[in-house]
Amino acid sequence: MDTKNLIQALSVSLGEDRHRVGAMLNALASVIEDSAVSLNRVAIPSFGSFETVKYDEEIVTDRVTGQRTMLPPQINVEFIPAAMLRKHLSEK
Amino acid sequence: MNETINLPSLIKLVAEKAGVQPALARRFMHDLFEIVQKALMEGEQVTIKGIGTFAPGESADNPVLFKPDDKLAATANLPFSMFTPVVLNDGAAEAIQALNPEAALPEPVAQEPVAEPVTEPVPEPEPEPVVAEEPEPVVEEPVVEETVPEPEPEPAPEPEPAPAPKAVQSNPLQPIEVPFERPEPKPEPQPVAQPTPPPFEAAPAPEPQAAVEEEVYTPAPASAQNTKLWLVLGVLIGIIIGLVGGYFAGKTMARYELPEEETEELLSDSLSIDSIEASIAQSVATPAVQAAAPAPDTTPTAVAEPAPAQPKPVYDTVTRERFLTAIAKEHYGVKNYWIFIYLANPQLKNPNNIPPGTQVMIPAKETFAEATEDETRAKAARLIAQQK
Repeated sequence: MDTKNLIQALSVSLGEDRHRVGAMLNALASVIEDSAVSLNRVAIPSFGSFETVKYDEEIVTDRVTGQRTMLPPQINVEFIPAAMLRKHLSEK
Repeated sequence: MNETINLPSLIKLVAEKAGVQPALARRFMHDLFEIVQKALMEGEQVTIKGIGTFAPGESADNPVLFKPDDKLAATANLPFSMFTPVVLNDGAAEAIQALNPEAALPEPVAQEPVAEPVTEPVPEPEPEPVVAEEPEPVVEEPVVEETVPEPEPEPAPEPEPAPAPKAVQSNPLQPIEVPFERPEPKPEPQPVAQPTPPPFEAAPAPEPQAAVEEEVYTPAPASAQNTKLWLVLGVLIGIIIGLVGGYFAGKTMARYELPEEETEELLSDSLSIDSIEASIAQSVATPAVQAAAPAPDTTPTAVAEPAPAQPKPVYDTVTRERFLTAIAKEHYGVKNYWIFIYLANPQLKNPNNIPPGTQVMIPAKETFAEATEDETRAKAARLIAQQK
């Protein structure tokens, strides 16, 4: 399911215009992006949470060539599913 | 920073940004995550622009695979976007790996000045105007001019490191320290010497690296010395064992060697084969002459001949100290006559190895002529004697 289909499904369930639903979806993405920049955590009950995780620099060795590369530190956005979502997915 | 945005706050923020009622935003959030959850339960992945892609995971530990949108990932990683992966040489990688995690932290700091070369050229042109203005009597002017270049480096790095970590903040401090130190020493050589310390201060990494190199390379010569030491010890032990073994072996062999006198006699016997042959020839010739001489007197001696014709055999015993040569010398007066004793005793095999206690028959001198007929056995005896 891509964004277009998602907006279509949301507009049907909400009974709202697709543009309005798209605006709300963009607003949600903007909020999550701002929280990621601020290293904040967005927690959504029964679904999961979006967190930023900082990884330190590390040296990675290519097993084939033996070449060693130093990877710089980086901040990743990760999604941690909630227990309820885990339970639903495991039951399925 | 490190705060948690809960659902009410999220609904409020979305409603404000989208310009909708909070109730609608609440319904939107509820329906959105319900649709995503249903899609994941059906094994379908959901892509939301600006957020990322949710995909069902393959394991129970990680039931949902989330890949952030490229824009979101780039925005979140903006503080470290200036860094790129660096390929390390073998030696550098070993040195870095040998460092402690605490010691490895200064390395990225050393890389950062490379990423921001703007700060380095700024302190260099500063000493030049100071030198040009020093001849002038005005003292306050350089202070004013120094303050002018200060704000130049500051605004450049400040806007960038707003969310950046400590490493980015450490760079702007370097140009600030330099102008503070320069006003104290006025002469020319000192400002030249002062710009050099910052690079040394900014790069403390080489010191631990050098220490690591020492730690890495010190064991190598120690192992080489140990190897040499063990090699020398092994050679010495081998030599000592060889000497001791040779000493005892020689001592053991000496028990089985014959006395020098006996060996000399045997050698002289074996070397004087020609003399033996000559003596044999003489002994053979003399009885023939003696036999030829009394031939004319046949009648008077005919009565006396039967008595000496059968000489009584004489027996003797070989001992450890009396060999055939000694017996021959005792009976015949010539030790080289041992060969006749040997020929008269066919039970003897090796003349050099006659067991002590063996009784041998001592033939009479008159029977030497018969012994010379067995020439093949005599030759064999001489060869055996020569071999010794």
